[in-house]
Amino acid sequence: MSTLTHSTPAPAQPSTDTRRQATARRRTPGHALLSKGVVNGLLILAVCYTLMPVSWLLIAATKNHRDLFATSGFTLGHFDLLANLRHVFTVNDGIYLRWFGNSVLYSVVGSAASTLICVATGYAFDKYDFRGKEKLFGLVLGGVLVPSTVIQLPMYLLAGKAGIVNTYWALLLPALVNPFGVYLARVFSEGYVPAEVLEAARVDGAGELRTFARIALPMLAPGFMTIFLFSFTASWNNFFGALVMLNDDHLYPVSLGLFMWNSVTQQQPEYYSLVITGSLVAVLPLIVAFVCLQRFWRSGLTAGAVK
Amino acid sequence: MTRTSRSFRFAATAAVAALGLLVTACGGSGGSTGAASDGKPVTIEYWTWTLGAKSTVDAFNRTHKDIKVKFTEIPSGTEGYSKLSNAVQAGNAPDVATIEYQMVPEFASQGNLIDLTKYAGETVKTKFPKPVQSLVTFGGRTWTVPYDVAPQLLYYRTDLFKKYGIAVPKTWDEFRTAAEKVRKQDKNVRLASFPKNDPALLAALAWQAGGKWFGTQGDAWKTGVNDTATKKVAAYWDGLVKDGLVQTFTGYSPEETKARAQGSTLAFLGASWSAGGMKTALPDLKGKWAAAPMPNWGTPAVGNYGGTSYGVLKGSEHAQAAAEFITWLTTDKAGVEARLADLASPSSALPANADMRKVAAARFDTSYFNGQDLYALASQQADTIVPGWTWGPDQMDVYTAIQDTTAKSGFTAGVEAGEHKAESGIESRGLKLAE
Amino acid sequence: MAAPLARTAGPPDARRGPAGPGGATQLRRSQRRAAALLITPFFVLFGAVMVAPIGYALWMSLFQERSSGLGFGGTRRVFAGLANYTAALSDPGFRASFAHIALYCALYIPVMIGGSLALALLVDSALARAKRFFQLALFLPHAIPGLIASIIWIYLYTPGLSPVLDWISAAGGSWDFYANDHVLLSMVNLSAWQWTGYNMVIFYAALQAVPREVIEAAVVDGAGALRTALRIKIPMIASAIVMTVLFTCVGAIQLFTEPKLLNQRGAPSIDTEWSPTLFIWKAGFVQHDYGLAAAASLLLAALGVALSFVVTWIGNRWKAAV
Repeated sequence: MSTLTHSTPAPAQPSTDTRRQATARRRTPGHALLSKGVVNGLLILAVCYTLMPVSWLLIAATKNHRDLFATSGFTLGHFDLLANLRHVFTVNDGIYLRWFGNSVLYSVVGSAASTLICVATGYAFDKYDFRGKEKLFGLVLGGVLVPSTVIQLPMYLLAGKAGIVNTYWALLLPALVNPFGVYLARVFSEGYVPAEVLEAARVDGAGELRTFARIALPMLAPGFMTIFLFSFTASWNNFFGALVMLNDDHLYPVSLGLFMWNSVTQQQPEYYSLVITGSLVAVLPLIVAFVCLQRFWRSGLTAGAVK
Repeated sequence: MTRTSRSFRFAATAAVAALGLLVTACGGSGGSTGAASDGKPVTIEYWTWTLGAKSTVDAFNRTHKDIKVKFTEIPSGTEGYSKLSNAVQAGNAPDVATIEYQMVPEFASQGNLIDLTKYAGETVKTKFPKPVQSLVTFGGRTWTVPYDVAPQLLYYRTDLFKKYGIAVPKTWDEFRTAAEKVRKQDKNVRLASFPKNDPALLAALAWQAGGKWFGTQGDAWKTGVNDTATKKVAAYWDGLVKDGLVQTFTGYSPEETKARAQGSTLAFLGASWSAGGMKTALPDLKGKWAAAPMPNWGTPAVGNYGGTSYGVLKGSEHAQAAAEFITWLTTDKAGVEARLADLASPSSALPANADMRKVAAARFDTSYFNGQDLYALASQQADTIVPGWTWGPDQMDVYTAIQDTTAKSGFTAGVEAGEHKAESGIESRGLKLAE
Repeated sequence: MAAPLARTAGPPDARRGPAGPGGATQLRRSQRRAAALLITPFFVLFGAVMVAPIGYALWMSLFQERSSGLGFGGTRRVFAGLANYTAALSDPGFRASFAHIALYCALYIPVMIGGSLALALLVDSALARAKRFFQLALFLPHAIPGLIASIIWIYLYTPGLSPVLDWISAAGGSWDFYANDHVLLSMVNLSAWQWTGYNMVIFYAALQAVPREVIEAAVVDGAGALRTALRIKIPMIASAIVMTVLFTCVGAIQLFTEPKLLNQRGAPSIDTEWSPTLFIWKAGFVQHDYGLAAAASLLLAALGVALSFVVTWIGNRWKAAV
């Protein structure tokens, strides 16, 4: 992990220092429409819009069922957050915790494995020459273009034949394949791993795979993190896949579990509190993770944008 | 892996053997016949969305040693049925599930249900009235065991009916007049709300009016989703919606509940089972509601609005135990009592079996309705259910077609779309459609 | 993670140095072997979860399930040729679903792309403070899973729960988020909330990469901030915009979660086959008509790929012209 802390910024992103000087120099006074107040005011307005739903969720999670409907959205009712949390974690023998664990499995473990595969593939595409290389890479790019939900139903039918419908593998296996990750990995490998370093390793007599594992992989660590975040996002957004593949509620990720609870609100309105508090519990760690890891998604999006 | 599972199996066997000794020593309490030949308790999975399920299952598990039931709450409606049928396809279906009468032919004909004739055929034949039997028996085989009948009822606010000076409408003409009267007095208040997303309610009203959406003729299906009676009903509600005499809140939504709680909706079209949910959804209005017979078209008649039965799903390895649980649920005093005694979500369903009906009536807490004998009223209404109704083999498709079209173009267009779907659905599956 | 990989995956001869006669060919051979080892896992999985399902869907789409009489005697599978494709193409619901998506895109893409471009330019402008905070706060919705975002917004649209509706009625107005004329806007809002910040970060990153000499030259020529943005900055990041539009379109034809939840909540004009993916879901998982669902999936996949090509092609031509 220590390599992550001194990683270099993505090659596509210019040094922030020079940018700052540049922006300072190109300041032009006098355009009334774009005064400092207007610019920052507009941005604050946009931030209010993006933060409003989450803050509502936070407040709603503190209310009991009656206050949820009886009090206005942003006023506090009786403080019942702890009771709501207890309810979320104990209902149906604590199924929510199980869902949470499943989500971690699908998203963290699945994405880590997927990222390793992508990085290995992208690195090979960048550093080696082999027959049909660009054709194979074209196939990968074709994979980026095929909409993933379109594959879901055929994959369900095939998985049914293979007997893995309604098992962990039904979500994990598809998550391992991330063509866009391969594309990113190739870009990162071009930027982070200089050919001279590999030459030097070869001169020292290191084998190819050893060079990849010991030298290239650590150099690719920031890129690894970025691709990991992409797979991670894709996997936790994969509600359709989970809905299609899973039927046993013990295998559900949090999102599918919340969807089922939300469907039950029709006959049992008390489930509203469960859905709201359960959503909050699911969202908070993600927000924290994203704030802490912002450098990595930023560099990933940069690489995607500039190429 | 193998070692743990073997030692686990050994421990389990030992525990079961000990339990078996205990049960024999106690003289075999619970009174169930041996469901598993080797004496181990059988665990069966039970998926439902009905009220009172938890306490029913708890009661069963308390009194039965050789069958254990594990219960999971699933969504009602389309969502729940597609979850069930997909579970059958995926091979992880529960043993027992709640199947409304309207879904029995579809579930049976799509191969989702185990034929229960040999386990429960006799029970169904001897313990349930003829009209109910016909809802669960197709092709000479018994597919599910009925629990309740669901005669329609009109629930209304006694205090607000008094305030607006309305008498309880007995016919649909009176209902319309009352709706006009309410609207005239307060433009924010309506007599009732009529959801556009609940085709089952429309079906019940068509049933009441003498419509017959499906029927069989030899080995062919007949359809009549747009028959004269149904069109009359559809046109009636289109008229009320057009003239702004009823609200059209989404059925079972927070805004519908809120309007009832605030008193901006004075009455609603429900059935015997609706009362159970009112206690939890509208606890503050205790004592202000009453039930009345559904308004009719001139002669006393009602339709069935919902109504549930229990089936064993394809793939179950414990059909015998499952059938035993179902028999207990539907025809055992303890099962019915537990269902009504649930503290969180008591049921108010009207059992189809006459003996159970008495049990339920004695157990029902009438305080919410100011002492009104809801079960007597429902029983009496159940006798006026129009005979001869059959549900179709593609009921879910028909419902979604009605619902999708109604949302855009009203009920009359909705039932036309439903009829179209009923015919095309039957033909596309290769079933026979009568000329 | 690196160490065990090297130990298990490294072939013994790969450790031999390139020294000696014929070292170059040996090197090339060992490189080729390494490349094969590195890309094999990906392509095996790629074949299993992308290529094979498409092949299987092609096969499935040629069959139909039939029963007979009243239908209580079981079903059998019969060869149907292209009947599933014609059934899908002639299904009014399937056709309408594409019209719905087109309408949705017509509203959503300008709003979302315009919004994220405007925000990116604002953050990029010399006048903005706390750029890092603004980026983070605007990006935050993307950290929330799509399903949870949809649930939250649907609650915010629900009378009785929603503070937004309380504010509207406090201001003397009234609004029904589910009404036929409004529900598409409600859906656009939901998607825009999730994606504007994400695309803003992409645009901002692209703006940062614009060579500063170009902008300085414009400033020297006396161009104002707005003019610089419109004339210099936006054309300079055109390729990022095209890429974003492409990905947004590919995302739009897959729309599922949002209409599914709106339909479940009873929004009248969002029917059970409102989007192509909902249609496929219904055909496969409500009606269990796998042949029809497979055919519809393949048709949608073909459209997705075609769309991608067209957008890239237009993008390239446009880039060449600028």
